[in-house]
Amino acid sequence: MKKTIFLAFVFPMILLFGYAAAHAGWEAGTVVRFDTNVNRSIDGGKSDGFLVGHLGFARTPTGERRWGVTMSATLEGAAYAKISDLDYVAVTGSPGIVFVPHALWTVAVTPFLQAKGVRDADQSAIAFGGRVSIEERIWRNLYLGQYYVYTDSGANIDTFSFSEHSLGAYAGLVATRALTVELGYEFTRGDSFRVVGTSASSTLGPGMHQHFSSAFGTDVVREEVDSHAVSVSVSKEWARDLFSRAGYTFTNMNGDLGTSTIHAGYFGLGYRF
Amino acid sequence: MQGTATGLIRPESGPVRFHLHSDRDEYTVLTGPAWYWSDLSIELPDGTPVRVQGSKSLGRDGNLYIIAQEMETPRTRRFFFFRDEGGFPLWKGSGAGRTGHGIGMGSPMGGHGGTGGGHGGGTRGHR
Repeated sequence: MKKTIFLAFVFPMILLFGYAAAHAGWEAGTVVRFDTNVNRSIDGGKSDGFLVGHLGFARTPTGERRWGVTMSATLEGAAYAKISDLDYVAVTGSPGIVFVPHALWTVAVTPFLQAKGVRDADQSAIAFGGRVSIEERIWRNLYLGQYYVYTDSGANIDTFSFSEHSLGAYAGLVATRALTVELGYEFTRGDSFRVVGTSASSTLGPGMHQHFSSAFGTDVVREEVDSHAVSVSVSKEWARDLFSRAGYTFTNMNGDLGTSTIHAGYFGLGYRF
Repeated sequence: MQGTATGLIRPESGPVRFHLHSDRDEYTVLTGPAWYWSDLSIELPDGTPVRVQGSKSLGRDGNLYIIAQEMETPRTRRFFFFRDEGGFPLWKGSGAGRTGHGIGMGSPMGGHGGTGGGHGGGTRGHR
């Protein structure tokens, strides 16, 4: 485990700080989000809105060479309107490598490590994983992308731990000088906590974990699920350093315990400096 | 801007550049890195007619520059793109620096599991 973390994070960082041909900058922002099923219930679910503030640092290659190293580090905090037990603070580090084998193709490999402290300590977790993406430029203002993400998150209570594999694809259009639109689809297979409404003890299958969650006020069960998600997002540049982004995602999650649907959206403002 | 190209320079670092002679003025056109030109097999012998679209500016040295977004060689009817509509350099490949792709505004896609399921952040979503 320690060797994996060294190879995935520390070694790329050593490379990163020795590499001068990069752009670096800070960003601060705030995002208003909503989620119609924060407890991942198979029967309706609890909806909530929350406010996220973030401060981040990003370093991207200049593009003078075919390859470059990237780095992003983000500190974010969230406050929920109704279920304050879900309030959290998270730190994420993500070094990466970008390779451009041809002018129209980009390959990026990005491991990440995240530490998250949640007011409901059961859900505090350390997560690590990696993302591999390929992006193709179809025309000057049109691009396609595909990606794979692996995430392994270990929470204080096992019911909230998960590992998952995601495959996704997206299409983006730089519609005007300041407006970008993206459409995406993602398939995910992995573990998820779920609220089943009534005690599910009698129906628990192999590999399922059950725990009483004080945050949700009911039993929570972890099981393996398949998810399909479709999304749309719109980014707008208001000034050189000021931008906004809004998005909506519909997710359908299927498991042995049932089906959950989630509508989630956000609107955020960001400032680069 | 339309004219003829001369004096192509393909430096090891920095943008490939050439002079564009129009009816009225002479410009230095700044494009992308040499490897990007190689990938797109761009040839620009002296005297080639070209049409360049981009941002014009007056340099501190008193010369006129064009930061090229798009270039066309009318004789071959080929188009070469250097920057997208938002000015993002296409040779940088990934959209990491594109308009509005905030560090802390990851798409909420793909989020089940854990407390942050679906809540975006730096590790979720495709940006």
